[in-house]
Amino acid sequence: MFWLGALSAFWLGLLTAISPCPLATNIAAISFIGRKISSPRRAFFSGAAYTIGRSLTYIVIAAVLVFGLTAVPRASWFLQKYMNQFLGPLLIIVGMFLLELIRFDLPVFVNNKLMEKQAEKSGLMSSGFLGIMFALSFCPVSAALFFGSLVPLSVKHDSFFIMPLLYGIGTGLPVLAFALAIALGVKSLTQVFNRLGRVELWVRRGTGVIFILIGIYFCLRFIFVLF
Amino acid sequence: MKIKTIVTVGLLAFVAGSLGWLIFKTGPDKKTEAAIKSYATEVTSPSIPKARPTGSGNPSVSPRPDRVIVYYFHTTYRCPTCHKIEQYTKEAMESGFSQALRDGRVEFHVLNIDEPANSHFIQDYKLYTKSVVVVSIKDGKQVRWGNLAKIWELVGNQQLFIKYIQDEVNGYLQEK
Repeated sequence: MFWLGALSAFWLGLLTAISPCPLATNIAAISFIGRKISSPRRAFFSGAAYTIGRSLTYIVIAAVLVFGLTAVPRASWFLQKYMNQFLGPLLIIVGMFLLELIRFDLPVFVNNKLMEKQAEKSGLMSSGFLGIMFALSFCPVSAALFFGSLVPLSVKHDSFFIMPLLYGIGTGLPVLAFALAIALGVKSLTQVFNRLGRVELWVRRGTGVIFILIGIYFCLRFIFVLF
Repeated sequence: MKIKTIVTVGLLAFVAGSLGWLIFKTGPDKKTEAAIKSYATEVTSPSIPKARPTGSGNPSVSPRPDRVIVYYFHTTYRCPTCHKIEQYTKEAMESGFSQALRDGRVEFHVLNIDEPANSHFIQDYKLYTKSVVVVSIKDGKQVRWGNLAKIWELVGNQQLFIKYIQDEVNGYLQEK
């Protein structure tokens, strides 16, 4: 019986990921994670960090709801309304970083090897952060599946860690798989032409452009409500 | 280099403009928040609401005391899936209950809960997103209601969706 519930939680996550409504954020996540084409291993860990970020968010929300800190309807409407509005400007800023239109210059007193490790670590952190942000941006479908199906399921099975965790994995897994497939595919293709470094630069710029376009889309849709 | 500067300034201006507009716009929204909060404490048993009827006939004219009301609640912001749910629900109602809709035993209403007059439904029926809610009225009182939460899982299959709505509404009708 518990396993059936666990399976349902995972299935609800998959349903959320493949529904058309979070498509824009999924495209952003796939391009962000898949941009590390020189190292599919890094793309995998980045995808895993993204998925963990999502799961963590769902676990925290479920916990907040269960401990009665807030009511389900208010939490749901609040997140649907304000997170999507906040996401637009955020995506544009992240896109500008990827395009190096704006940048933070870190002081160069650390040696190269340490820098590399630092970069890898901050890459994972930013993927996790992206997972948290995108998980918080509920749209009607994901709100219905999370607040309407997953939270009652967690209550029924008295499981407020495993169920949201599996749901989060379900929402992140398709993104991870796509990103990894793209990273692997592009890598093998570019290795033939021996132009890995150059392609990676353009992939990163492409990701930046995608982030900015999706950010503008979110601003026009949720802040200015033009369509 | 010059293009880069223009793009950077343009995007930053757009972000600033968006945030500015957002803050400017949040003013009137506070009223809705306050309305939601006050309803949370005030409303214990939801009153039978006035609603904008849709569909064939005019069910709100001299309705019988016992009836089943089906609501589709949406917000000002619409999404493709939400349009689909509204369309399928309407189809389910019109194809399954055309006679009952005409003689007033069943009512179907599409309401925007972002309108202040409708915002109390959020607390009345514990709405967390766009929803289809079935309400049973007996002797002018609401005796039972339910949120048809499965609509989101079934929206990919029109036939199953319509059958689900019709079975649920039939269940409420047969209680009488």
